[in-house]
Amino acid sequence: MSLKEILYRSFMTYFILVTCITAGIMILGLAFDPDARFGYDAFISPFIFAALGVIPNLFMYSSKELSDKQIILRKIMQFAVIEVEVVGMCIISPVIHTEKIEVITGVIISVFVIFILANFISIMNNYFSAKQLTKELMQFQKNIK
Amino acid sequence: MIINISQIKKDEKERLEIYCHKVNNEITEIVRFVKSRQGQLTGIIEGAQYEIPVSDVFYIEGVDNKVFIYCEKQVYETRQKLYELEEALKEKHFLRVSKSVLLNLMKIESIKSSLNGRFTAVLQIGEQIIISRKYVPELKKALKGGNL
Repeated sequence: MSLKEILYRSFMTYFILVTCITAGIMILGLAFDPDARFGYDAFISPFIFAALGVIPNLFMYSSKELSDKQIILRKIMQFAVIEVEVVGMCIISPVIHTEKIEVITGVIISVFVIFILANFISIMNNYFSAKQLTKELMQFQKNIK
Repeated sequence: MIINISQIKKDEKERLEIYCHKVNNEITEIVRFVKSRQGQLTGIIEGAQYEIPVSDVFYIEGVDNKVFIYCEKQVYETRQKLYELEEALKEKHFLRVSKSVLLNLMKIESIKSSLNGRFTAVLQIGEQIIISRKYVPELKKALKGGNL
């Protein structure tokens, strides 16, 4: 994937995230704390969180075709960055009690589980796509012969 | 160069004749292009030229400004550029699957999933070729009967 392509994708992801985070804040806010009032500075948070959400994607950029080992290494780096970001946000947040070891451990484990799950879904999706492609390939070869 | 195209009767054999002062690189390139369109490639091993039927080719790879033709047992070098071969072999079921590889779809045994949304083509000789994400839509289109 070229740098231009990855920047374009990240740009699109960024604005999708901004929209989703804003909608998420609205839904959760209305459900759990409908009387809360904020200043204009509250509009900044979706932009900041979306930017933090896009940064890990940039770790997968390479102008050359990556080998499987390189992909695994970059995935590990991506995971580490996500962990740092989420834990950092939890520490900054006044409502999350990060002084309790069980809270911070829970956050770290949750991020790990979600990361593994997301990648597992992607791998499975790819596996079924490959199966379908092989089926179509067999049919293609049969038609040509 | 004057170009003449004449239509002939169906029972006559189609032919291409080139009248030139000297067989230079340009002429050789034209000949190679026509041959590849007809299903033959010219490969070189240690200076000797060989005619390779396109149906014997598994894949063609560009490495450091050189282009290599991979058959079951032999690897030939060719003077043709990868993009020229891509154009010439479009109708021979060859497809670009990465920046540097043209793959013969008829020589693929199966397609495996790989990391990061990529696929790997397992060839009939057991070799594995990475299909870049960028070229997957083209592959899907080709297998569904779209234009190569």
